[in-house]
Amino acid sequence: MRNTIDPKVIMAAAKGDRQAFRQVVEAHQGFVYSVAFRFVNNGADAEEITQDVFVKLWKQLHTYRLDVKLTTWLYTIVTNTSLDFLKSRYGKELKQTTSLDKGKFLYAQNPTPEEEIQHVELNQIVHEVAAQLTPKQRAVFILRDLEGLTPQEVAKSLGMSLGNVKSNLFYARQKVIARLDVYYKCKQEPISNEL
Amino acid sequence: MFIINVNKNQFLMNCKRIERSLYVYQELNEMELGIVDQHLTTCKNCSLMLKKLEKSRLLLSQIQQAKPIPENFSGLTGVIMQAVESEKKVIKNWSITFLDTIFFRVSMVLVSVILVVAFISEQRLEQPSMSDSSQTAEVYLNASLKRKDWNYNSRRQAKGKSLYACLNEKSCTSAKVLKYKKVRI
Repeated sequence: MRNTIDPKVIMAAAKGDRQAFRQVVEAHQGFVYSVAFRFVNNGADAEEITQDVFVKLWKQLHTYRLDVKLTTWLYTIVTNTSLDFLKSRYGKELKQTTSLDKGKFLYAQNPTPEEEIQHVELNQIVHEVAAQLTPKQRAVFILRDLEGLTPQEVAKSLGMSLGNVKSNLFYARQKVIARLDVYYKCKQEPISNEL
Repeated sequence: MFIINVNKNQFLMNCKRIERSLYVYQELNEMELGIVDQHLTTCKNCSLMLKKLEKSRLLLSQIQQAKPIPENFSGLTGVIMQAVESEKKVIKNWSITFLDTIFFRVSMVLVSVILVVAFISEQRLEQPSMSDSSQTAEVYLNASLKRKDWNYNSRRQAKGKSLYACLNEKSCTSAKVLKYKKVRI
């Protein structure tokens, strides 16, 4: 996991130092937003979830123990908050509608406009399939395949055994890959027809 | 372990079982990898399946590499800090922290257990035991006392009859009635 921050800053924030807490927010809000976005696929809602996550952290930070990584704790909070959000009435309505807010992405390399369109399309498909998964499968898939956490980190963040992580990952990947296959077959057919 | 009931010497594995493992190929441990790789050298179908899955994994890694970022990064920090300002902070209180420790909880449980045991044992000492002979004697004496009381009260009731009632009864032998009868005769 990334975004390490000096434990002294975290402890100062735990004692109520708002400036120290601001540093904690600045160091971690990026990945918290990213995970939230993977769940809801909507910029405004992801920002709302991020805000909720840090308010929860502020309230609970006095119970923080240094033997637990803050990032692990944050992954747990953001996953639970996102799943609660999706369970809510608004979240259920959101599932049925296609959001126009596609969010902003930071690419590793500058993409061509075509690549960017393809990415948005791919992201949409993966999100649609992920929405049909069970909460556990969805959480495991997002943290492992979309956020790139190690299986051990996923297990710690979600309070699961490694075997459970693998099992959920298998079911999630089976569904996602099946959908991706269909998407690519559809994309290749017009090309083969032209040839 | 993901592959259930795998015997290391088991060479020919069920393709279906292996297929399940191919989906989590990156997550397999050394032993599991050894078994799957051994199978892949002999099974063309499973090797093709792995290649297909690897392609899909590459697509997913493309999504992974593009990180969603907030429209206004510093703006989001400001919004979060504003929300935090409006929340009441739970400041670490040492007395509350002490009350929340396991040591305190365990000692409280022990104290309450001791108090309950002490209360029960005291109750048992006060209660008369049926097997105790001295207590039985006391109960017997108490019963005889009650009988004495009953005899005394019934005699008093007999004595307490009115003069008029006694005159009508021949059996009444009260001294006053006899005197009255003598005077009248």
